[in-house]
Amino acid sequence: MMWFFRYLLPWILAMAPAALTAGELIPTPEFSGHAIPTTEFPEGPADWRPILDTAALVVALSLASYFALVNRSRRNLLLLTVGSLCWFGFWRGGCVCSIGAIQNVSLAAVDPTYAIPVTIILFFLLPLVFTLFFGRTFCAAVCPLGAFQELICVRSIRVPRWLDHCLGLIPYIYLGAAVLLAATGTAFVICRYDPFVAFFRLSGSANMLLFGGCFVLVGLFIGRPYCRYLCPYGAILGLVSSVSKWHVRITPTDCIQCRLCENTCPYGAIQPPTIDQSPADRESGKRRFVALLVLFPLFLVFFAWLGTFLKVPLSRLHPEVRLAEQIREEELGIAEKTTDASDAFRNTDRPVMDLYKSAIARQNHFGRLGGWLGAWVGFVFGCKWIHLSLRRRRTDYRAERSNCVACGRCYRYCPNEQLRLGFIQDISELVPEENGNLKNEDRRSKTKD
Amino acid sequence: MMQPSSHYYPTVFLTALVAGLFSIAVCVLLWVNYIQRSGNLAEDVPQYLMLKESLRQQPDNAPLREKIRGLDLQLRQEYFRERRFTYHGVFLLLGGLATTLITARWAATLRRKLPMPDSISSRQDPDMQVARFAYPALAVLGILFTGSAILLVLSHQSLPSRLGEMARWNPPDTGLTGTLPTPNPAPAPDLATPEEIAVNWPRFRGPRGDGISAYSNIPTTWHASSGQGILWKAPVPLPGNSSPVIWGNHIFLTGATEERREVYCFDASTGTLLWQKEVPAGSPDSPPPKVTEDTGYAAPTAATDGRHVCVMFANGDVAAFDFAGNLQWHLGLGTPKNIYGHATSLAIYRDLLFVQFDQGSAKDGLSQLLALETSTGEIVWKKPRPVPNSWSSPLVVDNATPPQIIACGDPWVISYAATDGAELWRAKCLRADIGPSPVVADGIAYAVSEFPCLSAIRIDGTGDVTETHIAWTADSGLPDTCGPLVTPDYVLLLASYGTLTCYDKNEGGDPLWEMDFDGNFRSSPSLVENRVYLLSEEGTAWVVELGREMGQQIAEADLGEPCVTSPAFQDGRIYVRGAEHLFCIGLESEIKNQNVEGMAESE
Amino acid sequence: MPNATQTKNRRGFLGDSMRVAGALATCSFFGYLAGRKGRNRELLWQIDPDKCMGCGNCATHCVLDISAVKAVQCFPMCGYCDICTGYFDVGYTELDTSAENQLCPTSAIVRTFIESKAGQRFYEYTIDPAKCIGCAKCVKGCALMNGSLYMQVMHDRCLGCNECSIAVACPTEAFCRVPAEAPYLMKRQAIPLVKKFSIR
Repeated sequence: MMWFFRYLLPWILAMAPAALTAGELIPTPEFSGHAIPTTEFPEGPADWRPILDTAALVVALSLASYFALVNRSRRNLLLLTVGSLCWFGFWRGGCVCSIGAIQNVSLAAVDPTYAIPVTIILFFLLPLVFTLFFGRTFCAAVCPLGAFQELICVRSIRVPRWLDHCLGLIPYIYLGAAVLLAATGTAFVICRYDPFVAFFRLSGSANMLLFGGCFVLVGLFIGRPYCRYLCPYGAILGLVSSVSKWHVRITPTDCIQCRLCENTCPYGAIQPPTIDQSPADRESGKRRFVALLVLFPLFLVFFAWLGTFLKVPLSRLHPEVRLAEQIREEELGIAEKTTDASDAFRNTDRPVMDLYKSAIARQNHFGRLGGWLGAWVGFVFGCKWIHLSLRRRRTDYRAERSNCVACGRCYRYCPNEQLRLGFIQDISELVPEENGNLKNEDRRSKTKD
Repeated sequence: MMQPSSHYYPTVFLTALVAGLFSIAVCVLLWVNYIQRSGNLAEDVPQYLMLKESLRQQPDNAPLREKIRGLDLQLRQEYFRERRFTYHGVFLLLGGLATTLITARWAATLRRKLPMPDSISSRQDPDMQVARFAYPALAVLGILFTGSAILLVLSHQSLPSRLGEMARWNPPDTGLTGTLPTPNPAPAPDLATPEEIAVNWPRFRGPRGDGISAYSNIPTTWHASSGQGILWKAPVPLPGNSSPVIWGNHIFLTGATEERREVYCFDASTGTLLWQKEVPAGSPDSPPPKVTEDTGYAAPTAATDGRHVCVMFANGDVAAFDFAGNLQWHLGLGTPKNIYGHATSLAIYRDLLFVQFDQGSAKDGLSQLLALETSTGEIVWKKPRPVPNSWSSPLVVDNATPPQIIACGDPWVISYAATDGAELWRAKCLRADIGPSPVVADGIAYAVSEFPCLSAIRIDGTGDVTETHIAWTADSGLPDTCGPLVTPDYVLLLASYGTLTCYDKNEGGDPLWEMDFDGNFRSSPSLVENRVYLLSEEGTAWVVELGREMGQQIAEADLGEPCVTSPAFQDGRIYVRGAEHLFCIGLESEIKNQNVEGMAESE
Repeated sequence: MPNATQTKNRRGFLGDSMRVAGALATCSFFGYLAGRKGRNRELLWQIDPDKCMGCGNCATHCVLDISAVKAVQCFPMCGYCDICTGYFDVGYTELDTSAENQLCPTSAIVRTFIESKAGQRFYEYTIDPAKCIGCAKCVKGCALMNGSLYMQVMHDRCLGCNECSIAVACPTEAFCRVPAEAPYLMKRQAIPLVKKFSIR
């Protein structure tokens, strides 16, 4: 009646005279003239590779800082950008990267069993330290994602500054979500939704390529969309950069308020000087500030409360919770068919109640974490609001510390820089006079068309 | 850099354009290649699989074999060619894109306007301007976030959170250890009483599915060739391997061919065919089942609740008739994926009919256990089963709390709560093709297959009881088809090659004794008092008196035709289905009293 | 204005001290994280063959076009069977190497006759890594018998993604991070057998 017994079993039994029970193996025969080979495996990556990576990072960071702050050379920065893109991007396939390292660090901070490699810690830490002293030079020419976007930006359209402020909140929120999901061992979302890694590896799933393609299309016309509106590491670096010791200065000497650099930054990081407010405006500004301070805690509480409802959707990202739900649905006869995971689970000795217990605990845990995530979102919104209502006097054109990625584009537009480099003899060759006329009329006519 | 050198511009721009168009072309080609290729490895192409299937049926077809090899080679080459295409194409694309970018940037630089500040008169305080737009924009963003969060929450709640439901049933503080609440069964007005069931033979291997007769006045010897001991015999119109079931004076049988499925009702006292009904096709579109000759199209034994008789066939059709032969309902579950043909018999608890519908491989996830209402055929619950196709029949344990239904598969023996299908316990102790049905006696379930052992499992466990509730195992004389026979003192196994092995019921371990019979066996052994009835495929029957030291053969009988079904025992009678006839074997005293008319009538 | 300069200097010094302190604090925190487990060498992805169920996701979910995961043969665990359930399709018509009888869709398993002993023929089965696409069909087949065929991540091909796409799709969480100095795993059952044969 049964194929197995008719064909296979007699043969198994012939092979092994003693009854073969589950888990026992057919012995490997002893051959007279044939040695049992050993399995060959390809070599793993060489020991020196992580060391080389770290060294490359240090060199690149140092060079980038030097080129941006001392050498003030856009061309050198661009060359370094290409170099970094080739090394960290195409050669190393986009991994290890500082942006993704956020997740490893979060996981390591929570999960003591995860032995985080030193390389990853250094990749997370070194750019931070460099930023603390030199500004976001990492973004300028070291980060492969930044380099990629820097190079594809053909023609940039300026995003209005108010929109820039708003969209600039997304990285913080993304950071919160990424840390939460990584620390709970749920998912590494930053890696999963890395738009350019598929290009670095020259292969990837259709969805990854499509997602990346969209970013490339946008990136052709809007400078660094990922860095500005999504990158969670950029958010951290921006905060650190705002207290950095040295930073990119547009002019090598003093600002002469020529406004030539005003529109040159494709990333909208150049801030014009402020104009003093009327006393009435100042009064209303103060009132608004106080009102915001009062509303701030309410904001936090509201968003935290809202976040607790994310319990179910958040927890569904965790494979164990998904498995538990699948098993439950199968038990209740709702699920159409079993999945590989549920079949595999049934083959283990783990009691189903144990799985449920653990999944429910996880779900509740995600409820609490969702609250924290909500509070973080509220905090970010509140801070932005307060930040917008705070006024600081500025007299010069200068690169905003947190947004400037030290690409060095603006240097050459500054007449003082041209003077420093010896391209012009007199500032008035470039700077419009009070009446709006230039000394050099030829230039004027060329800029008009 | 500041001085535009525009006479390069047309060349640079054109280069950028050409490189851009080239990149787009490569991109489109890669994409088309990517879409077309998805899943054309030989194993995923239906045509290839079809050819392979037809080769299996006609293994000597040489041109077909050549065709398969050709197609296989072609598909393989295609697979790797496409991969190579992508690999090289990507580099082309990269080159094209790099050229496009460089030239486009160059062109943009050539055309770049020199900065010209806006006129001063239009200037307002920049931060004020930003703030004016940023506040409302921020509010909109906040609302968007809140909205999408709410949407996310709502969309995930509308799919009911099954875990939430779990949590309500088993609040975490009680430790989730309690059993699931069983919904109160609706009061069923017309159910057979346990006493009624006990004196009938309502399913495969009797009222408890253990092959033990409630009667002791059962004949021990008969000879079909001479007519000795045969009360009557009646021809069964269509072939089938299903065994008879009995309720009162009705004997039910099924028979089928590939095209036709029938149910028969015989009069128990005379052998008259009371009615013969065809079962309409439940799902006309499903393909005809493929069965081996050994299994046939009507292997599942019927089951009755005393009001209806429920039947099942190899094509996955289930139907119920009332005792007058009126079709009550029928249902097509679809042709099961079963390598030998569906052979699992039905079981009934109160008003629920259980269909163990194991099919395919475990990975297919098609196997399930269904509970149907006997009167309407409505599905009350169904549970997916993590097992491949099997041929063992489910067993109802109605004296356990809660009542259980135990079903065997590879590798799990799983017990479900009969009322709602909640899993109670499972044990991993079977392997490969599972034929023998389980038996329960005194709170112990006995599950066996030819591989790897007979396991005695205490049925009061929860969860995976493999490590905790297996009382003992034994591994000699394992059957591939016949179910175990559990007497008050012994557990008996009947291997297909004719060895009857006896174990101590409480200890297992080494056999107490073995007896060999000259025959092959697929009919499960039965017990009357202390006597075991064995029926061989060749039609010889033996009756063995049990003892601790050894069994003693007390009678040999002969049915006159091959037999693979299990007998049914009633007051003073044995009903057994041979290859062509249904036999009624009675006591000598009764035969003497009976007129010979019965015989003549059934012939 | 000496006062202003002094203030500026003081402020600058304060800022610098804060920065250095911040950098040191961060570094020491991460130093703690790194030191907590000792041996923080590079980690690589690998499949725990005892957990792998051979679902075939490895072939389709890897970011590489042809997966970095391939089947390997553990020879000391192999029974050298004539009727290899990892080599032959269930519906084989003959025990030969023709395409219709093979389970492997790319013919990546090489079947070599070794010896005939006591009426039994023994064959060696070797995986050709160039052809293997990691579909795990043979692994599933072999699991019916000895289970000497199993899946491993090949580190000459693996890109070492921070989050392995196959690990995300793996139904049994068989993917784990292993230290780079021992980048391959074997079945628990195989360890004594491999030892036994390597001694000989």
